[in-house]
Order: sequence, then structure tokens, then C-alpha cells
Amino acid sequence: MALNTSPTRTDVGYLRRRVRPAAEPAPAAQAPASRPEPRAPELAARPASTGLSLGPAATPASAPASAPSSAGLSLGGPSAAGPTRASAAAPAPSGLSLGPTASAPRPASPAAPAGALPFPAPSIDEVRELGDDEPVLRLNPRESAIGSLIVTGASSAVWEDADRVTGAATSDGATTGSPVTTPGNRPLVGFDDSDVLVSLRHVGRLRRALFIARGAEPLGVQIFDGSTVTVAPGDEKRMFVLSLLRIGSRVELRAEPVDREASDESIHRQFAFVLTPFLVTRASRSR
Amino acid sequence: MIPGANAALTAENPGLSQLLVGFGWETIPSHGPQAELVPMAIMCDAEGRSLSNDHLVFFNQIVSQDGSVSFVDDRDAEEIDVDLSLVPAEVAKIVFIVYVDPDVRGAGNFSAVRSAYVRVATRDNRELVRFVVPAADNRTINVMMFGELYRHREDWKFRALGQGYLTGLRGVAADFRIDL
Repeated sequence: MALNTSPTRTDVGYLRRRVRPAAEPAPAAQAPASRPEPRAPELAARPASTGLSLGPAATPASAPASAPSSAGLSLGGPSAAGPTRASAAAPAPSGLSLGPTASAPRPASPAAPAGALPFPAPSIDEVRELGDDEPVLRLNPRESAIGSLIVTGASSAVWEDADRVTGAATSDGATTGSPVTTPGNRPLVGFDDSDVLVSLRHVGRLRRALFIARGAEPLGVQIFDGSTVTVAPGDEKRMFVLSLLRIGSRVELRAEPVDREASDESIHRQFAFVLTPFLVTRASRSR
Repeated sequence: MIPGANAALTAENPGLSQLLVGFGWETIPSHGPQAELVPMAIMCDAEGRSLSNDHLVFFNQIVSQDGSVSFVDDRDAEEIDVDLSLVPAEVAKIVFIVYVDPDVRGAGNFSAVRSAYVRVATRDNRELVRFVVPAADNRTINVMMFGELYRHREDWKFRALGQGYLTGLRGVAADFRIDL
């Protein structure tokens, strides 16, 4: 079967990967003080697959003859450096493969390419209040990734990360489900005094969140550049909750109407949040 | 390299086109909120301004529209790839900054950062230059310009910078005329 020699797709962000030859590093051209180790030896040992590849061009012209050829159907992400859960001992894909195939840890990549947005949506500068008239807005990739997204007026929040770990917290300090902590020792989503903060540095780990307001203060959102938007309070029978969804590299905010009498748990069920039991682990002891 | 020094890249390495720009650092561990560093590439015109908001490349905007600059998280703490052959002619330089994410919960600064470096290598990791950012009193620094790739006649060179901002990303946005 002929090799896939199509150029790397730069317009499809989540399919991009480094096409890396498995050759030994050549001597430095300008006498570096220290020379790093050659990269990713496991790449050279990666087994070949046999089938159709829909990924980027598998073998550059400069690749050595020993470079693995991809001949199997592969709809997965990067194969040279797959997600953390991929196993280095994964068997050779001999046909259909829907997942990444190698082992190097990477952060969660955007869930969808930026160009795959389902419909146009206004920016935060174009919307003053989310509600019946303007139910949704979308942040750009910079607004979605810098600093903290601050939600004011919330009495409770529920979140789901990219691994479907789900938890909830209330403004009075109660927590259920499982927290998600980022490498900076901050919750991915959590209350800080009376506000809920979303750590946008790790927005790639967040899948979605939902914020509910029960008090007199309406829900409001502020981002790093100071832009704000509020959520309409609703009426006697229904209120709006704020839904946050990450679409690729963008955060989408949406006002969703719910029954005002519905409990938080009922609203969580309506939005299919199933809280993950929190397992308290402790370090193993040796006697 | 020392701050302000430059190194010829393409003149010394004919045919060089694809570069790997790697960043690394160590942070003093803490049980509380830690400073989280984020590299960003800014593609600038001859006036030193970003060509547009889309000419930024970082972890959440991972490739420039022309495909010449792309973000890769790999063997260094972070890496950005540059394909010099695809860089538009109107781009005079590509500035590499590292900012402390301005999370409202103790954003921090560079005071807890040690052994920060930027290095330029070929795509197959043949290191060309390395700049170790000098340790200094960085308690008020929250953005650091590590270095820049710039055109010099028909060639590309790298300049070590090591200059800090006291005004964070707002200062960067003002200087480079970008919306952050």
C-alpha cells in the first residue's frame, strides 16, 4: 500500500503532532554546553499498523527506513505523544484503531478543533445579559485560557473534567463528588469566598460546568481583560442557570432556563451530571 | 549566551528551516498556589507590534494561521516549533515570552523560578543555542521576554533577552498591541 504523503494538516489542531524522525541526534553545530538526550526512543520501536490512516502524513521524506509505517485505520490523536493514559505496551494496531497509540504524557488537548464550531455566537463584548434574547456567547481562545474566570452570585457549582470526574460545591462550603486539582495547587473549579473561580490555565482539563444562583444577586461572569456579562434572573416560575462548555479551545457560556422550584440535585440530573464518588487515598505504610 | 547576545542561525547552518524552541524552568515547591509559567510566541512586524491577535501562539492557540509557528508540549517544559520557510515576509521577528498565569488566587511571580532557559534546536533536537535566564531579584517580575528570532538581511538570528515586565500581560498587550 502506498504511503500517505499528504502534508501535515495545520488547520485541524487536535490532529496535529510532531512528525519526528527516529534518527540519533547529530553533533551540535555551535558547540552547545550540554547536549540533551535523544528524544523518544520508544518511537522507533513503535509497531507498525496495517490499514488506512486518516492522521497527518506518517512518514516524512527524511524519515529513516526503520521508521514505522502507518497502514491501519487510525482516527486517534497524536501517535508520537499520546495522552497520559495510553500504554507503552499497547499491542500493535492491526486494523481499526480509534485511539492514540503511544505513551508520552501530554496535557489534555482540545476536545474539538477550533474550526469545528457548530454555529456562530457573539463575543462577551457583544452581550450584556445572557437570557432569552441572547442565550449564548463564546470566548475566544485567549479569553478562554488566561487567568481566572470569575462567577459571582452562585450558590452552587458542579463541574466535569475531561476524564468525566465530576464534583459539586456550594457557597456554604459543602462539597460532594470529586474535586479536580490543577498542578498549580488550585481547584479547577471551586469557591473562593463567595465567588466561583475557574482556573483557565488548565481549561483543557475542563469539559463543562454549571452554576446555580439562589440568592438575590444575579449570576455574573468576569474574565481577565475585565469584560463582564450577567445572567437574567428569570421570572416567578423559572430561573436561568449558567452553563459553561469547552468547545475545543473556546469557552461557551449559556443561560439555560430551569424550574425555579427544582433542587440542585434535580438540576444536576437534568444536565446529566453524575457526581464521582470521592475516594480518600493515603500513602501506603511499611511496617 | 548572555542577555543581549545574538547568534546566527541560518547563516551558520545553511538550509536550516525547521526550528524547535524549548523552554524549561524549575519552581520552588509549595503547598499553596504556585506560579504557573506559560510560554507564548508573538509574531511581530518591523515596528515590533504583533501582526494581529491571531499571531500569538500558546497552549490554547496552538498554531498560527500560516502554520509557521506551532505549540508543542514535549520534552522541555514546553516547546514551540517554527518553520522559517513558512513565516510570512511581513514578520520581522518572533518574540518568545513566558508569563505567570494571572490567576486571582495567588498568581505569583518569577521569584520562585530557578534555572529558566530557552534553547533553539533543529527539529531533530540538535541544539544550536541555549540561553539560561540569569537569576536575579524577580519578586516583581511576572512576565519575562526570554528571547527572539529575528530577520537579519536574508538570514535568521536569535537574540537572548531576559527582560522582565512589572506590568504583567497588560503591559505585554499594550507594547505589542494585542488584546489579552
